[in-house]
Amino acid sequence: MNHQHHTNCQDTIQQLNAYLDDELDPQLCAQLEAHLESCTDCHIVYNTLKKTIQLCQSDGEEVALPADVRQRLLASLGLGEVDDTE
Amino acid sequence: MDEPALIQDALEGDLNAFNTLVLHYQDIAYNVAYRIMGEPGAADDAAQESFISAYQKLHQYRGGSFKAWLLRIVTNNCYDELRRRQRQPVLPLKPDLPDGEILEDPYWLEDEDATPEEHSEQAELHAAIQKCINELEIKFRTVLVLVDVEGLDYQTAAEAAGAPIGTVKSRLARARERVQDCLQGFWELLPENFRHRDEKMI
Ligand SMILES: [Zn+2]
Repeated sequence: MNHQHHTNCQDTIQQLNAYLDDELDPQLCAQLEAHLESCTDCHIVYNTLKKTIQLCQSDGEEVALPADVRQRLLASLGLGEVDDTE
Repeated sequence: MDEPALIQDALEGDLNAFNTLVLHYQDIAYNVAYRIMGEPGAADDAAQESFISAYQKLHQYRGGSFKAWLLRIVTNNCYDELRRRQRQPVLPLKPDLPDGEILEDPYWLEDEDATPEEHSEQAELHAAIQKCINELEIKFRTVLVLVDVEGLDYQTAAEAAGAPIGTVKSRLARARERVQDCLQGFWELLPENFRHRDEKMI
């Protein structure tokens, strides 16, 4: 029993990243979710990883290309300024 | 934007088509360079060089995601630039503090250009995240930037990083683990539910 439980925890922790990124096979998702519900340890790891990802994502505010860089870029490509609106 | 048509036109020498592609992707290219390089000046150069090489290498584009292809050029340019800079040693950014110790007036968080209002907790937390990401080795930082910061899926991130998906997965897991550990050094800035783990572990 203990061994089985241990293996499940290892599998779960290995799959957590893909699960949180929506990249895990749907069948495995169900198994993982069932394990998370019954295992406090894995649930803590899950919560912490989720928070870490959220913090990294919150760092993703768009930084616009500075106007002067853009001008240099277009000039160096031999391209004039064009309308940026799609 | 009809991307395949634009690429086709660009390949046939239509500068306007290439221009439209550049305008569409300039911000993500710049952002990826900015996060990988960790400073605006270097990102300017990397972004600019990337578009120039993209233009020169356009005939090598073999279909698939144009965004991934372009970001691959960006990450390669960043790698080259960082390799050139590696001769200059960089001071470690993370202070070595005993567990739970609170550092008053954290000098390593101070941003000389920041206004007083920006010294809010939120700004400090952002600075902390940025520093933790900057501390990662480049191959780990790249996948974290591509997936977490820029929101790419694994497949696109793998193409942009020039690595197999399995490698991207393992690097991403390691990168997140390291950021998590690093953020524990910024204890007092973290939202309460994030601190939960350590309390349970004691
Ligand atoms: Zn478990």
